[in-house]
Order: sequence, then structure tokens, then C-alpha cells
Amino acid sequence: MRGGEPDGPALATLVHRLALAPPDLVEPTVSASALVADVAVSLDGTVLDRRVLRALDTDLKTAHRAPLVGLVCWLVLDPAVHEAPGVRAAAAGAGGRTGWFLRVVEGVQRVLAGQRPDREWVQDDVAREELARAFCRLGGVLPAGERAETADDRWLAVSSAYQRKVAQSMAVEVARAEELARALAEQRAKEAAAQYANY
Amino acid sequence: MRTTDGTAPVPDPALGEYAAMGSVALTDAERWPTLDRDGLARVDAWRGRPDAPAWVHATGDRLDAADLAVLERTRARLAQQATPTVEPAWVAELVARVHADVPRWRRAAREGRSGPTTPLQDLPTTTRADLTDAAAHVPLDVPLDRVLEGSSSGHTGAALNVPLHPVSVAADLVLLQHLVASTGADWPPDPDRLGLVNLVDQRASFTYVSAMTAFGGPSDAPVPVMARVNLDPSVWRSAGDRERFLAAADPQVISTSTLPLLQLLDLARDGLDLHPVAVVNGATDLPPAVRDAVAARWGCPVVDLYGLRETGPIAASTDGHGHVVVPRRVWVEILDDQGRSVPDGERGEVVVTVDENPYLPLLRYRTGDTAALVRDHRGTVLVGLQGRAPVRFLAADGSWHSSIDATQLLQAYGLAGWELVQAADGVVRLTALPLVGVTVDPAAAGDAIARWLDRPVRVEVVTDPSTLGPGKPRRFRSDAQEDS
Repeated sequence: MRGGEPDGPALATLVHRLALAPPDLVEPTVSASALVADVAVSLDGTVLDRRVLRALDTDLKTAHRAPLVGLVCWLVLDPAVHEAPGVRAAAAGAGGRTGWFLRVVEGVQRVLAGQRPDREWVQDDVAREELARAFCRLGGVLPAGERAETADDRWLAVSSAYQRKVAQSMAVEVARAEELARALAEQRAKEAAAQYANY
Repeated sequence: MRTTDGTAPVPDPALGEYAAMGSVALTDAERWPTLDRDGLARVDAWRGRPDAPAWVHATGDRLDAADLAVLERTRARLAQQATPTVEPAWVAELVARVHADVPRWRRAAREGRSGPTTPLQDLPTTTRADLTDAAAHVPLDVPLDRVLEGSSSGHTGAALNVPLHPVSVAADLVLLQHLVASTGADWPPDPDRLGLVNLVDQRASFTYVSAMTAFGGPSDAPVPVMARVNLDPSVWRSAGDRERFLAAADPQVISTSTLPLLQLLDLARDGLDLHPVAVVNGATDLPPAVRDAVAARWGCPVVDLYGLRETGPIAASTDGHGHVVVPRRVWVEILDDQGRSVPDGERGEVVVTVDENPYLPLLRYRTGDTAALVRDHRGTVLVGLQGRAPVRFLAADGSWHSSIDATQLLQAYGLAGWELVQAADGVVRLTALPLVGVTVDPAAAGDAIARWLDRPVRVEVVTDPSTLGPGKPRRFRSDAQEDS
């Protein structure tokens, strides 16, 4: 425990489990909404009503979402994950394990869909860590043994969206530096202006 | 307009930028967008006097009507504003703004080192070396169509290109008017005199005539004219021209630094008849004896203005008893060697946060100068300001030369840092730190110094900036005496 908050699952547990995910989970044809319904029953006996399932079906028609949701289901089913003290505490705050689980399902689509090719989430080391860390953040838990600051730093280091934003910011800054160099090199700038005091 | 026809070329091959009219791009109408025909005629009259020096440059104030309106608001603010003694609200606003718009601080925010709500005292300081990457400090959202290249004079060894805005440059004039008025002196427009002379005394310098369209006053008053003038004899066409021109100009305000001021006092002692309204000293320390000499010679007030090109004016002393922080958006801290704030009254490095030049807002800029800070009825006062000592070197023929000449040379030969020392026996030693990534021969810099002083120079090349020790990276010392 750190700062009074119970630990979530260990990051290594999540990353390792992603590496072991059945290949068909990342196939575009996977029926992720059926998986979600099954996991809800298995977590706490919740039977998702038709309205929730219809909304899920609609969401999951968007490309690249179903594999991510399938992988979240795969992670949640691991007792080392759903029994982690931090997850139990977070689930209690979310009205039960299924409520907590659905929050992660919704969030992972919003945060990660389209950031990488589907298969990378299981095949690439950094991608696995990105999904594992996103899972913890969306689930409101810290990876076991990590402080919030460390978790934040490491998340920024692996987040595709953040890295893309950084790259865009840097590109803007590089272009601006070139613009400034051109402006200063112009004879208009070099003529300068009359000065009234010495420095 | 006459230039350097018939006069000496630049004093060193590396100083080509000082070739006459080598940096000129605009028409006079572009130099002073609001100046009328009468004003332009008066500028031309000063340029074309038969006793005028060979002008090296032409430049104006570049101010349009909107700029003049901004400067009038600045003038009104100066009249009302007292120096704050607690951190003003604009500081926190600036911290937030630069974390959104200034590359260096955006990077810090991205990397989680600081953010828009970080208190000023928790932010790292900014050094002169940081500003060699100027673009990292220029806000992304300010249009660059007005940017001007500014460079510090190198009086105390610093020379740096700084992006400037015409309004922030002209704000110096408005501040000088405010400071001169605060001494009780009257500085009205006078079409028969130069309103101001910016006086230097160095081998190479940009000199020009300009109109001060930001001077203000009645709309029908003639716009005063100013000139930047070099006392160095080599820039004048005939013997006596310098004295004739200055006597005719009889500048109302003489804005200069210590060594040219001493030279001007010598000329006055020899008969040059001047009647300044005020003298402004900048860039270098003003010894009390020089302040007294001005008072004795001309009976006028002296404003000692402390500032850096990077920051603009920071503080001013009108009585020799401490430098009062000027009523601009400038906030001063005093820090110890470890960057910790020291209590009022204790000496430390002057560190400045400033938000005046739209191209260069600065957070916690280390000036390299030291002072103690006190707060009294005058506002925030820097006491015992040190670090601007002018240095002169003795040439083999017995003539004295300002360190500004050396700065121009050493910079032109690609040095990032240096220590130039002249021992009591006249021997000159140069410790040279070349710019990283620039192919230069530091020996050539030593040769240039040798030609300048007509003395041999021992050159030691270093590659580690820390070799030069703490403090300013460009330093001069001369223990030479008249008989060295």
C-alpha cells in the first residue's frame, strides 16, 4: 500500500498475461460484446441488460475496438487481477466488479483504439506495457509497488497518444525555430532600431 | 546620405558587419512610419552636416501609430505605478503563459519538471548560456514580422543576439523620460538641439541619426532627433569635426557609459561647450567620482540605469544611493550560489523575471551581477550593485582601449567564452573557450588581440566551460598601469 491506497495488480502480471493472450482475441471477427457479457456473469453474476449490450455492439463496430475489449476481458478474468486489493477497493467504489469492469471497457476504447495495429497489443513489449498501464489508470488503481508519480511518468513514456502529441509539439517548435532564424536573418531585422540606452 | 567615404575600413577583417551601411534594408519612410516631411528633413540635416561623422548605419524606431498608442499607455502607467514589494500577480500569469507558449517551458511541462501553476521560486533559473538557443525562449504565438536583431554591447564581456520588438526598444525612451523627469529636470522638445545622443567610444560601432517619434508631447511639437555617435577619432573626417558636431548638437540628454563619459568630460574640460539636461549612464558601473564630475561640469542630474539587453532596464539610481527597481513588469530576486533566495539585505546574484519584450519573456534570469535587496519608501532597491566594472587594456603605444573592442573581436573569431587578462607588466593572456561545433582557430583570436594592442598574447584553449570558473563566462581584467 502507498498513501493509504491498496495495490492493484503487478504490472508484470498484466504484461505477461497479455503475451499469453489467445491469438483469436485480436482477430477483427471476435465477438467482444459476447465476451463482455460472459465476463460480467463470471465476475459477480451480473447479467447485462439488452440496452447495455446494444450500446456495446454499436461501440464495437468501430474498427480496432473489439480486440482491445477482448484483451481487457482476458486480463480481468485472471484472479491475480480481479482479486487484487486495489481492484476490489475500486470495484466497491464503482458499484461492484462489473461496474468497474465496464468502466475499463469503455475507457480502453476511448484511450487506445486506433493508436496501434491490433496485433501489437500482444506482440510488442512497449504496446503490452501501454495497454497494461492504461488498464490500471482506467481502473483507478496503481500497479503494485508503484507510486502515483512513477506510474504517471511511466505512462507518459509508453503512451502512444502522448508521444504523438509530444512529436507534434516538437514539430511545431522546430518549425518555429526555423521561422525565427529566417526572420532574424532578414536584412529588415538586422537593420534593428535606434537605441536610447547602453546595456 | 554620407557614409564612410574616405575613411578607414573596419578595424579587423572579422568585423565586417560594421562596414558602412552593410546592414541597411529600409527606406526612411519605413524607418519612421509616422514621421512627417519636416521631421525627415531634420534627420537629413543632422546626417548631412559637414562636420558629421562617417555614419556606419541607418536605422529608425519602426513605430507605427498603434505602437505609439501603446507607448502612450506605457507612459501613463509609469507615472502611476510604484515598484511592487511583493510578487505581483503578473508573475504567476507569466509562469502559466510560458508553460503553454514558450518551447523551453512547454518541454518542462511535457517532462513533468514544472507546470503552469508551479510557484516561481520552484522553477529553475535561466542563464545567458540558455539564451544561445534563442528560439527556445520565444513564445510560439507572437507574430515574427516585427522581430529585430539586438545584440548586447559587450561592455562587460557579454555579447548575445537577442530578439527585440520595436515597441520594447522604444519603451526605453519613455522610461528615460520618466526617470529624467523624476530628477526634476525638464526635457522639452527642442528642434535646435539633438534630443539625445547615445555616445560610445570604440573602434567599431553602429552610428546613425534617428527621430524619436515616441517622445510624446503636443501633437504640433517637432519630433526630436537623436544620434548614436562614436567618439573614436578614426570615424571623424577632419580634426575638430567631433567637437564641432557635438557643440552644434548640444544634446539634451547624453546617454552613454562610463568610459565614453570620461572621454566626453575630458573634451568638455578642453573647451567643448555642452549643456545637458541629464546624463544617463548604462552598461557599466558609475563611480561616485564620475557622478560628481558630471555634477561639477554640467550641474545636471545623472541617471545610472542598470539593465541587460536580454531583460531591458531593471533598476536606476538617480542619487548614487542604490538602484531602485523601475516600474516595469520586472521582478527581482536575490539568490545565493545554490540558487536559494537570500534574506533582504544580504548580497547575492540579481535574478530577474521580466515580461516586457513580447519576443523574450524571461523567468528567473541570472544576470551574473550581485547586489543586496532592500525595500523602503522608494520601492525595491538594489544596494551595492556589482558586476558592471568597465575594463581598459593598455596598448604598446600607451593608449587605452575598452574591453568592448575585445568583445567584438573575440566573438567574431568564434569564442563562446573567454578570460582576457593583462598583468601589471602589460603581458596579455587569453583563455579561450571555442563555440561548440564551430570550426575556429582560437590562435586567430589571440592574433587579433595582439594586433589590437600591438602586444604578444599568450593563448590557452579550454573546452570545458567550468574551467573559466563561476560567474560571467566572458571576463576581462587589467592590472596594467600607465607605465606598464
